[in-house]
Amino acid sequence: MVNDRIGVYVCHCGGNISDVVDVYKVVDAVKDEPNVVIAREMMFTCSDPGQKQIEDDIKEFNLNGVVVASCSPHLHETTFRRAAARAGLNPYLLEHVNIREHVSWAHKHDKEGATEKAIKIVKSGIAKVREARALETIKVEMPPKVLIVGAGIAGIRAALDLSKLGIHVYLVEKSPFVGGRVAQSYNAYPSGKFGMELIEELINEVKQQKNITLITNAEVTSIKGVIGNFSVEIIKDPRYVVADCPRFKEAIDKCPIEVPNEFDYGLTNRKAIYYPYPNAYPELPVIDMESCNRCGECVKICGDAINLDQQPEKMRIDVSAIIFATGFDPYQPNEGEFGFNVFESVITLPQFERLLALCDKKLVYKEREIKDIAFIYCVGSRQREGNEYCSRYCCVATINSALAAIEKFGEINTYHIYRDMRTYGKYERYYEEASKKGARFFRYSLDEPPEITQKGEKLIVKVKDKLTFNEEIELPVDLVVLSVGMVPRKSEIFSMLKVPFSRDGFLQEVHPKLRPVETAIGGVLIGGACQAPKDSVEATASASAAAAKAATYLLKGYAELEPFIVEVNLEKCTGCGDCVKECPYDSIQLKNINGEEKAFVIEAACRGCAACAAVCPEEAINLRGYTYDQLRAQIDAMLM
Amino acid sequence: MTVIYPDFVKELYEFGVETALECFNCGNCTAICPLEYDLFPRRVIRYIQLGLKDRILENPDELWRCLHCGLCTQTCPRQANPGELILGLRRYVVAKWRGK
Repeated sequence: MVNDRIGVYVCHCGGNISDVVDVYKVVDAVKDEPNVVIAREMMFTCSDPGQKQIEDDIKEFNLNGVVVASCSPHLHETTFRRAAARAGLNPYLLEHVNIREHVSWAHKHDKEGATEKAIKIVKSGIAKVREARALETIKVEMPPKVLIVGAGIAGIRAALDLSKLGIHVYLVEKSPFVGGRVAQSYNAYPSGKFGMELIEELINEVKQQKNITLITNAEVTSIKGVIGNFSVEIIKDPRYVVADCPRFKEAIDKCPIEVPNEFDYGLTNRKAIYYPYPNAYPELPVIDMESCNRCGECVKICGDAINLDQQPEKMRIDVSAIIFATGFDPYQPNEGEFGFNVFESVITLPQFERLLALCDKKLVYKEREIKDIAFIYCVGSRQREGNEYCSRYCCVATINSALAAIEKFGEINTYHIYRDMRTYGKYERYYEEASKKGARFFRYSLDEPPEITQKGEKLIVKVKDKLTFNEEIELPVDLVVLSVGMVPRKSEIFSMLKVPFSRDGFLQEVHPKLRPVETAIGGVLIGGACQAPKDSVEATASASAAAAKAATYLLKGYAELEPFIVEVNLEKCTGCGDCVKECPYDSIQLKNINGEEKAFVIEAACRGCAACAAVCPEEAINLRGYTYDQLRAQIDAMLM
Repeated sequence: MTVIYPDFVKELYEFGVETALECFNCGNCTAICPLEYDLFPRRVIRYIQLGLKDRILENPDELWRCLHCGLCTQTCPRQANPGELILGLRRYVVAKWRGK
């Protein structure tokens, strides 16, 4: 059946179109085409009277197809489809063709040729609409449940936001305790609050929430499915501490094992049963089985609260949407990069922040008091080979930590050896304050980086300083701090879901401004520093944005997807399976239908790329809204 | 090779040189200076910041080239007061020679 009562509207667009294209001639050329019952030119089709005219015509002539020839569909397709819907016509029976960007603007110097091209484009639009079918948007049920991967500051922030909207959150954290990188930081700029305090405040809020299931010491091992229906498998590693006990402190003291504490980057030691830091959450300590010798001392004290034979636990949960808040790793300098791992007094910025937190009254590292510190900026950032990007946060974080050192320990000389200083926006005041506090700045170039050597007790940093007219200056210091950037974290779950990566290896959003927290995979959102280097301010802002975005699907209870997906003609399909191999989204599979293997489309997963349709040898697969019959009719109309 | 001596800034306080660390090395003072002499006065202010005493005493004459016209002080975006720094340095150099 073809649509046999078609209305055609050719737009002047003020003069944008009609100054070049003879719109009257276009109308004349198509008004007697088969099935066209009404053809009009309009001054501004998108105006209220323009839309009204289309609506009235649909009703008066009982139209079952409409062609609007005007600007780009990007601009007004939705406008006109809504107008059609208001008049009771299925919006997908309206075809919007572009005679402005594609015709009048492109062919200003050839009015006749432009008019001819416009006629062909409109005719092809008519041909397409003739074969068009009414389509319905795809509704996907969305039970209000979300998985958040990562319980750092971003993950916790997003969990709180969703929970307060009545949405259930599974907050899964790989390590035994929450807080991530922010908990390790000393005083996170710009509030000056300690990282641990920030996490503690958020966790106090989490404790009030009924909608958050926190799963620590657990890893997501598999995610299958699509928006509205993700099936997630989680393995929860044993904590070996299974219940509360008032005597944990005694048990920790008794534990004979001492190993470096990862949380402090090895600056302190911990026991095999431990908290990484006081007030860590959850309040139950954890036993690190790799270092535990199963001596049983802790069991003697805490009894049933400790079970050294606890087994890993497999869990399965179903969620509608997923937020990745998996964060970053600090860049780990190579052996010998600025003396790293060669001289013991060369450390990274995150290590320095732990040092600031752990020292009291005097700043001491390896039993020596620190009086002069050189900070080398852009370590592992903005390289020709390796990480090309700027991590942005490190300039401010480094100056902030230098100021913190001066504030906590009094007179310390700080030397800042940078390539470019980017204390952007309101953080300029940190640079100002550092200058006031006596910080000295030096500028090096990528080709002539500073050199580090040992001389007696001191390290000598030799810098060819652009600010001192390329003279070589020697800085005798007690500590060299490498200001390292952020590098993306790798995880198999990203590839499981085929989440795209940016050039720099972070997770990629659909569009940095228009859809900043969504990935190309429906229902998979990103928040925090897994997306790009971010400071804690930006991380929490994007996490809240991801939560708000997830809520837009979940509060409605369903998501609406465009109907442009593929469909299988079961009579033609031979079950060869070529399409299954081709599909990049695993959304087509072979299924036994009435005793025969046939291709079957998982509608919610199909993204309408039609790669399957292209390879199908039987032409058994069609893309809705762009069927082979429609495309052929369009081409024929163009060639006539 | 030149070794930094950060405490020099404090030694200069008694000669009235107090604002050297305000300087962020933009070079506006040198651009506006009517002497158009080398990198005067920016170079010598940078030497104060790093405490490169010898560099200053190596070539003290240049301090007496300054006309004290005040253009650098007017132009300085950081109120580092370059003109005043030069005057203070003259006092330091004189005192240094007397001491010898």
